Amino acid sequence: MQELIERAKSLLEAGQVARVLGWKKGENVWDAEPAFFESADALDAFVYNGFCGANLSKYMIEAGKLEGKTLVFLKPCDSYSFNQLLREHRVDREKAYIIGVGCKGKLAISKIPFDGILNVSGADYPAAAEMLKVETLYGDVEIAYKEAMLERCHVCKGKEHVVYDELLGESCDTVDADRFAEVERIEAMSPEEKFAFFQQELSKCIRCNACRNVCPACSCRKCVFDSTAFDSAQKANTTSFEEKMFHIIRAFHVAGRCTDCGECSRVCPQGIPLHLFNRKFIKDINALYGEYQAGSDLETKAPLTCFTTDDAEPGVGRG
Amino acid sequence: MTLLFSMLDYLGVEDGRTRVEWVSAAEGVKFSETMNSFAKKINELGPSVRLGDLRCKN
Repeated sequence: MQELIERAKSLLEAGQVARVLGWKKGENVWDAEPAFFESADALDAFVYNGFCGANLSKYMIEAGKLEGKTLVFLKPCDSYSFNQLLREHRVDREKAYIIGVGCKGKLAISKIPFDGILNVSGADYPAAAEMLKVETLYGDVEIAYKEAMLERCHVCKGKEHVVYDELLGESCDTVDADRFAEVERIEAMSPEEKFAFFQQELSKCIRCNACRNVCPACSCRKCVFDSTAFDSAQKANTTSFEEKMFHIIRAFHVAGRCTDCGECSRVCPQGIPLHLFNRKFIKDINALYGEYQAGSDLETKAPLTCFTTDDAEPGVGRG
Repeated sequence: MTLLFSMLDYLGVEDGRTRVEWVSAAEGVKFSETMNSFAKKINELGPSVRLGDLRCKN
């Protein structure tokens, strides 16, 4: 972490960048949040540990409108989002100085199943521990680092950055699950079971819009959900809009552009597995149009915006 | 459309409730047959409970 701060300080002092986009210490060790740092002194609050799951790519849209370059720290998976935004002309490559930071898997406080957590140690970077020490009101306990990892880290796309100016820090492999296993499990259910499963999950939605706000692919200046013409702008307790429409529309709007960064599931306060929608689209795109990973490069033609005579007809896969 | 239909199946929306057909303005018989068979199908399925849209109630 110190290495990152020193590099940021020297770039700031040399005038190569006007500001730094990174993560700031929160009240608790697990509350690290995205922040801009304008001076070397401000960097004292900079932090990079296992709880820095937040993807900073989306902030680069606004940063690109400011004077001067912004130094941004991107984890391997975040760099896919940045590449995708670059491709959509939403961010300015010239205005970004990207340091690709290593990643040893990111943690979720919600995955640490103890009551009264006071502190978590062992989440430091680069010296991440095998076991996290969790201090609780009821005594000290331990949990394996792997067990507290975000769902997306278990199916990590790889620790290679797809866009960067320089690299700092080491990574380690965290994959121990099949990316599409959960989607396949749902596909195998009967229509009634599928509907019951999604109704149960989606009825937890409180329409806080966190999934939309955090999504790097959701960057429209004006969002369909903010329309006042429909009752879609706010949560109305009397309707089942969230169950039936909101999440389908949201996932569909990012289909083919979603890099599967997993931010939607990470920020959901209700713990809804929102990545299951995005991954279904990714799985179908892979099956119908050939393997495609959004954000992996700037050249490959996107399957949903590029017509070929081999494209699947609408009836494909219907019984 | 392919992806949307696949997603609807994934969500457990009844198969047959959605359909896409290309019909030319010159194909009156095909249009009639398509509409009649689709209307028959959705009538059999009854009201769309799983895909109710609140905007329809406004």
